Amino acid sequence: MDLLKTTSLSRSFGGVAAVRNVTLAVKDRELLSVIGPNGAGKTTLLKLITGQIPPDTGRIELFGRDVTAVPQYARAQMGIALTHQIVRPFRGMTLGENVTAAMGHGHFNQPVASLFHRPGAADTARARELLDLVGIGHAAGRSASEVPLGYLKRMQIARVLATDPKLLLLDEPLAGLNYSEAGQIADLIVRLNEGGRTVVLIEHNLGEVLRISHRVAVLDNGALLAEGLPAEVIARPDVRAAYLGKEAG
Amino acid sequence: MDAYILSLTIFVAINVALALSLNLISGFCGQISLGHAAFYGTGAYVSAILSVSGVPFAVSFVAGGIAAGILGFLVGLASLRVREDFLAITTMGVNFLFVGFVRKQGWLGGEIGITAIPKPMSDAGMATLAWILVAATAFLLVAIRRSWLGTGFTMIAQDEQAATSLGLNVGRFKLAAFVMGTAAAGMAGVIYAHVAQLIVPDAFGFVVSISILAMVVVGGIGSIFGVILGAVLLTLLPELARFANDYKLLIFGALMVAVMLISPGGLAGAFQRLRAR
Repeated sequence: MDLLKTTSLSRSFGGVAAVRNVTLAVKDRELLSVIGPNGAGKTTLLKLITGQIPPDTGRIELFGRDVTAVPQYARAQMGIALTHQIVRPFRGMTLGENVTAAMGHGHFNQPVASLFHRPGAADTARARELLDLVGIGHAAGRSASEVPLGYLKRMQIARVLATDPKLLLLDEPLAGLNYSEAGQIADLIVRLNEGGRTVVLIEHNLGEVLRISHRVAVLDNGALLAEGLPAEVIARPDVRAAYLGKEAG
Repeated sequence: MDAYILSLTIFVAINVALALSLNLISGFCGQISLGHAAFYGTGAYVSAILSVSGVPFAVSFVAGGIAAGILGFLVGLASLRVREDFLAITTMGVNFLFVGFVRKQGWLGGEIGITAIPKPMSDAGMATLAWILVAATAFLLVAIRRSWLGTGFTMIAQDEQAATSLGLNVGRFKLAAFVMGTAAAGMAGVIYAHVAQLIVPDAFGFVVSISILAMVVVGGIGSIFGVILGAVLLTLLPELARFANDYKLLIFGALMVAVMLISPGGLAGAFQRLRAR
């Protein structure tokens, strides 16, 4: 079953086509990586899927339902979660509070009703568990405005896990991390996927992408250039040319 | 109690309620409003018109709050489209529109305003009502802070896009903040109109909005205790020292600048730092 499906999705910014006619399907429990050179349209594609920006044309289906016109918050409530390429912590909170805040996702649609429910010890404990899962439980009390980037990247993953998503969209979660940290986060992504979550990963770290992905899709100049098994896709001359320049082909 | 002291008590309570209600919108939810006096005035004018027409005070009181809340809802809709400094300018414009509109309406008394508003109870009774409003507003803010609603407000104030991507219905939460905050300001306006028994457009002008904002900033944006303290101090200061009354705006402005430079967290932030030492 396709958990996510885009059909002929296009989006331009001021005459520049960022995403062109992209048709892509992601199966339940799949770990799909979307790769491509800088400016290929990967982040724009994720923004279209989450609903942060609307497409010019095309259709997005989530869990078999057309969500093209569904607002971003409602798609998130359906079980789609995004970690941002440029980290977006709530900087006035601690790492623990950031994750605890997301535990309230069941109360995020009705403000009046949410007045009568409050975060409890169970939420704080679950947030701590999730921070432990991503390896930074010891830093739960530290302010999000003073910890290193690697901590914020991990916190973002813990925070979206607090919403119990079915589909994880991870936008360059390994960027800015050292070799060891990147390997740990990649292993965590595999564990989350094996735990039943479908993952769409955007990542420049090709070594990790090839190691952990079930399938790879390549974007170039906003269009889908190739998709298939990682080793097969990366061996294609047109993919290598897109990444390394025409002479590589 | 001395009549002057009693009336001062009422005006302190009105300003505390106004500052707390603005704190809900700007401090808790991060939506900068420079036009809070428009909602204060809406409550005052709607209730005054009703009371002068013979409507019971209880009905006027509720109607004033509801009318201000409805205007707050409409301004809140603007907050879904514009943010930060653009929202500040929009709300400022709403305040000018309010005063400009009221001034030109003969049925609202025009420049002269509405006079002979009947006093529904003794000054002591009005003072009690004013402080009940303060207590109810403060209780609401404490309840919000402890609830998921408060968490949602904080998320919006700190990063609206991150909040949305976690499934928060940012639009509804913002509207809730505007409706609750402006309705409380409207109720403060009802009390003001029925204590003063006379209202004129300038009593709800931009300067009043800035004065309310000064109380919030000096007290500490987002702090309940700090904002109460700020509102009490800034209301009493011009009364305690005559020169302070003559230079009220100058002093309020200087205090805001000083707070931003020395203690951006206001009095509440300064107290917290002292306690942490």
